[in-house]
Amino acid sequence: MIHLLAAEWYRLWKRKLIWAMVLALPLAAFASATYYQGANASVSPDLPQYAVVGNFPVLAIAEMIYFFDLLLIALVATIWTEEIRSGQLRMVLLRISDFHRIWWAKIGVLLGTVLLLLLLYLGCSYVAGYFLLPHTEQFPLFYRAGQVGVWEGMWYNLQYYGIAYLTLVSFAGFLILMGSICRTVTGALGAGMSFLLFSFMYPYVAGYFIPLIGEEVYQKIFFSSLPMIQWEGIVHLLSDHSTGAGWMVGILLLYPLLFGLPAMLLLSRKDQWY
Amino acid sequence: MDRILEVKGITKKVRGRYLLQEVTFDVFLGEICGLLGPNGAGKTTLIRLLTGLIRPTAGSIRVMGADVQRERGQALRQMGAIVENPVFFPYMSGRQNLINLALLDPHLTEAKRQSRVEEVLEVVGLAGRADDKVGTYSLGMKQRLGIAQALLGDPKVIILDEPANGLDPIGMRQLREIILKLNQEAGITFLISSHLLDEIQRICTQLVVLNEGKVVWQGATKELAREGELEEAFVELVSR
Repeated sequence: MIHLLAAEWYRLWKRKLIWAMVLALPLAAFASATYYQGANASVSPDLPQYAVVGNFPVLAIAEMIYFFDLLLIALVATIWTEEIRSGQLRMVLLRISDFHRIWWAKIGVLLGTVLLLLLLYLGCSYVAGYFLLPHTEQFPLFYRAGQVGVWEGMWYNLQYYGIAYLTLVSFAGFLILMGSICRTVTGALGAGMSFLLFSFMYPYVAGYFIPLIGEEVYQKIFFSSLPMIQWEGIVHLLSDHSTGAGWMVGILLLYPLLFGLPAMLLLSRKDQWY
Repeated sequence: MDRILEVKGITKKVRGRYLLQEVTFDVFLGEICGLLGPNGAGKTTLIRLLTGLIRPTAGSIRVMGADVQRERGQALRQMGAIVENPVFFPYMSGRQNLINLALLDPHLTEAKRQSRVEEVLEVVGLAGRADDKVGTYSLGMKQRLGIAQALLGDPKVIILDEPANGLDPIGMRQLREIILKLNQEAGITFLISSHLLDEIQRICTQLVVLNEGKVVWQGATKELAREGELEEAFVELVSR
């Protein structure tokens, strides 16, 4: 298995796409810090929206998490769809005794890469914040009473990035199924984008029906959407009075189970290569 | 004689249609066996079965005694193959493609991996172009790289699916020379599928003729091609 992982990893990092992603992250972090530098002029320093070194990583990822969704779509389309459909994977399959392994190796490399990119972005956002944003010893956090220090803030940031990573893992479940089914890279990209678009839209549509369905059901519909969990759910989960945590964790687990398992069965079926 | 490949009663049925029926033949050590048949005869299906990419509906395939389905790892260690056309990762060089595939071999250490890659590149005459991206390779070079990857694990048998397809006369000649050299000097057994009779006649010592999923003839090439008339004999066989 370790050999298969090494080969998958070697192949992925020979692609220009992954290096373009790596190079884009520091640029994105500095662009975001520059934006917040200007935005700070119209925000009170008492608000969590006021960007300082300590809270900037969270503000930066909140803006950029959809960019990571797009990175994930691109990665799955290349690692899965392109390799399977072009026949490139055949020479690899001729060397492995169990087709399930290729599935796990691809998952491992995909999720490992996303984690690495996320950590790189966290590091870049600290560096960008250090050079461009105010340095304060205390700063406020969203939906939390009082202020936190640098270390407590860093722990909060790590938790935020950890949950953001879990939402990406969950999204990967759906994408992997699409990446295995779609016959073309364009199809896989389209399926991923359509899923994102649909997940953005249906909570808004559901908003029109609040008088009929009630606020509680609406909240459940709203937080059944992965982009909505990314947008608002993570700060709710990390707030002093976390609400809907069980529901959101359930949703995060549901996506990989609902979509990831059929994808594994599909990819490991031998006659898939017929 | 040592039996390298043992194909026994192989049947493949897909959506109610038989692609192969009761295919049985053996390939022995040191042979270059041609798998001959018109388009749609089931040659590629058989090669996919031989390499364990798909499961047979019935029958068994053994490579040096190891069952391809049940002892896949052991069977694959003895075998190198190109199934359909050799598709490589175009964004990597020839050398990087080989290193990537060599990484999958648990028996190769880092040092051995490097030396084995250089060795097979030399054998197929691609050492000079090894650092070029595979996307820039001609079909003939890709076929040679395909043979290089098949050689990585030091196999006893190499299975090639229509290797001469689309090659120009020079490419065909280079490929033929490599196959003959590997067979004569390294003792590697070959099973080569093709519908190019002339090519098959030039290099294969044994033939298995497939038509509509069934073996219609097997034996020595010279027996079928009496007085050099392989084409006529072949047409007669597949028209029955």
